[in-house]
Amino acid sequence: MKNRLKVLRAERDWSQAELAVHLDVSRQAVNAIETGKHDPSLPLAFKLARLFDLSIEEIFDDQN
Amino acid sequence: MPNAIKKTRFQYYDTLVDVGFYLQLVGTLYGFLLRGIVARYTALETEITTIAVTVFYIGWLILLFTVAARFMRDEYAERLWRQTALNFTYLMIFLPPLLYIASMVFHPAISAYFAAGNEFFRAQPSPGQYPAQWNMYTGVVNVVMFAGLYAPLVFTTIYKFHRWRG
Repeated sequence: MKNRLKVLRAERDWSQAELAVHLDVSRQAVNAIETGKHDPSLPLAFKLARLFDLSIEEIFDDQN
Repeated sequence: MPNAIKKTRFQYYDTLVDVGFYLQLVGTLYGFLLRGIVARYTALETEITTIAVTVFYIGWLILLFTVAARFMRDEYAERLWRQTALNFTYLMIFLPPLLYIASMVFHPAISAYFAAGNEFFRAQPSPGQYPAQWNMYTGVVNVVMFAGLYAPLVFTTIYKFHRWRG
C-alpha cells in the first residue's frame, strides 16, 4: 500500500531506526512499510497516525 | 519489561538469526566438505572437528531459540515467520517422496558416498549412544536425529530468503 511515511519521517529528520524505536518495531519493519512490502496492522497504523498527528487515510493510500 | 530492553529486542532478532544460521552453516559445511581434507592434510582433525561440532551445536541451539522466540519478533518478522512455516510444511510433506525418487535415480553415487564413511550418516549407533532397546529402530532414530539437527537450519534458510526478498 502506498504511503507517505518516508516523507513524514524526512520532515522530522528521523532515520528508519529512530522511527522504529518510536513505534516499537524493527528497522526492517519500517523499511518494509515504507516500500509497500508490508501493510501495518491496525494497532500499528493507529500508532503511526498518533505519532504524526494525522489520520490513517492521510498517511496511507489504498487506491491502486 | 524495561523500555530499553523492550525497544531493542526486535532489533536483536535478525542479528541472532544470522549468528545462529552462520554458526550452524559453518559446522555443517565442515562436516560435509572439509573434514576429509583436514584429515588428509593436517594432524589436527580431532581438534578442528571438536571446534566445528561445538560451533554447529551452538548455532543449532540459537536457531531453536529464534524459531520459538515469539516475543522477539515484531509484526513484520512474525509475518515472515508464518510464511516460512507454511513453506516449511510443504517442504516436509513433499521432500520425503522426492528424496525417495532421487535415491533411486542416484543410487550408485549415493552408495559410494556412504561407503566412504561419514559421521552424520552412520548406519549403526556407537555402543552406548542410544538405549539398547532402540537398536531395532536405528534407521528411524537416525532419521529423526538428522531431521532434528537440520530442521532449524532449513527453516532459517527459508526465513532469510523471505527477508531478503522483502
